[in-house]
Amino acid sequence: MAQKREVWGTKIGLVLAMAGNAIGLGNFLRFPVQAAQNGGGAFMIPYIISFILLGIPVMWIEWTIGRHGGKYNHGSLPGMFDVMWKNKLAKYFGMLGLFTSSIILIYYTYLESWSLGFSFLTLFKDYYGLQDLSHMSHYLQSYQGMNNQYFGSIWYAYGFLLVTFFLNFYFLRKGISKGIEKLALFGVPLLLLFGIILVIRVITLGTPDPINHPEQTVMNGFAYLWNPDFSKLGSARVWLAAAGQIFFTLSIGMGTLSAYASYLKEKDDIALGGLATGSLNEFTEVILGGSIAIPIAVAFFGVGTTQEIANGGAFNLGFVSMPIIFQQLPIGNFIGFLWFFLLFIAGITSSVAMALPVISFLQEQFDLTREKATTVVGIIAFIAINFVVFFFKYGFLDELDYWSGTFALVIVALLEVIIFAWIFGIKKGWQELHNGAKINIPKSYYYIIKYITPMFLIILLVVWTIQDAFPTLLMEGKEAENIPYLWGARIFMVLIAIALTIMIRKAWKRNYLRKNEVK
Amino acid sequence: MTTSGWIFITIFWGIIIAITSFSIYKVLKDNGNYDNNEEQD
Repeated sequence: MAQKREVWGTKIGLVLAMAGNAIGLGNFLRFPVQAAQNGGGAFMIPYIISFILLGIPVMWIEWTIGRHGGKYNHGSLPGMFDVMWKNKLAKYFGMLGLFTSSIILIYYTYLESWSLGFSFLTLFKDYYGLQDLSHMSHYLQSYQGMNNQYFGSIWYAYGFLLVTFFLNFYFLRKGISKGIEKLALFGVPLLLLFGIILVIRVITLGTPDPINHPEQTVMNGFAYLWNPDFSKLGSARVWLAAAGQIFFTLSIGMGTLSAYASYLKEKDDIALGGLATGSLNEFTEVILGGSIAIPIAVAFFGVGTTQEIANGGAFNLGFVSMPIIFQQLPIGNFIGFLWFFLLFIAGITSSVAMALPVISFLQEQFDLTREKATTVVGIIAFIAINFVVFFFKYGFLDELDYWSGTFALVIVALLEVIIFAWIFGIKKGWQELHNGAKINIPKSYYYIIKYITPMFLIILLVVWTIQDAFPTLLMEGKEAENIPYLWGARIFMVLIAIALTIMIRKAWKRNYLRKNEVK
Repeated sequence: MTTSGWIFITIFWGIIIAITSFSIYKVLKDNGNYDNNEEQD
């Protein structure tokens, strides 16, 4: 507890690090698929409403909880909840924040490494010649170790995973201002630059095959994404999809934004910082993410096939259809490299944030140095990631993703809102949020945070529980062969949760004894 | 693209670009070392 707490070097460094935390693979892959499947332009109405009523308020809450916790030398949710809610259980509720970020870190690093691997496979034209969706899909599966058709073994993917892992922990070992902030100051502008280059390339494509397919144009791609289908606005599913997208895109419910904010000083602004982070994320998602994959897919495959690709999921769009398109573009290998490397930067600036809460926890509660804490987390995460790699084909990753990367996030966000607005108290919370603020937040947010945001989250939680959680829990539609591995994934998550709970208990006991010794 | 498509893209891109530019401009304008905050304030 005696270690001097690190601080961010510059304001723009913090905002870029926060934005890098929020901007992830989903901005470029998940958003366009969701928008295309849910009414195009009309999807943007519930999307923006969710941003205003859910995204921005939770973003501000996480920043406030984080900066407040930082005053007491807490960089993770157990300690942050404990200082806001004087209840023995508070720290155990905070365990969920450590749980979500740690589990997501484990599988997200693997997904991120695919982007790095594919950026080089594209640059060196490794898959050139595979010009249809079925072959490219087999190629991706082969990379993932699901067949031996193109890659003799999983070791190729494993090599890129090792590099990704090393880079993540290299920046984490360097600390806040010398590691994470430097990565963001370099990575986020580079990501924006790559994104802008790609958007310009897509827009200037026009009609790739005007003789045989004059209807397949980039403009029709934008039309597919933006022409509103108002009939879908009446569907609850569309509203939930929009709220879900806002939730995932801003990286809320993981405790990572709070962890970053804990390295602020008491009077540092959080109101403007939160708004800047959220809006930069939206710029990347809606303007860049919405102008690359779907418009280019429509220009090359047409609306019907793009719809099928989108229905096949985000990775189908990014890793199967895009490589086919790159093969047909002049200097397509370079354009493809930019695309996959952009995804890699989006990934790494998020994954370093996922490791931070548990590293801070070890540092602050067990007096480990940053280097030691990073090494401990690195070793444990590396052992754990092997389950994800080798059991990938049995759905191990999907199971982790559903429970920790989807369901638990809503629970954590709901806990944060309730503790902030109802237990700590909205009055105190509002004052804390405005401490050092560089902008005035409209007073309406006082009521939005207190009433509307928690209601929004409760509705999301209830509907997701009924719609997805029960069928997933009962493993409906799962292949019999995969079921032992899915149980394995669940046992794995339970063990991590138990280990974290025991560590929290030990840490508080230890600090309690220490305080009494001092007295 | 239909007229409503153009209206949607213009409005949403416009709002996002405006808020992003405003907030990043304010952050950059006020940028500096956090250690000097007290002096700046």
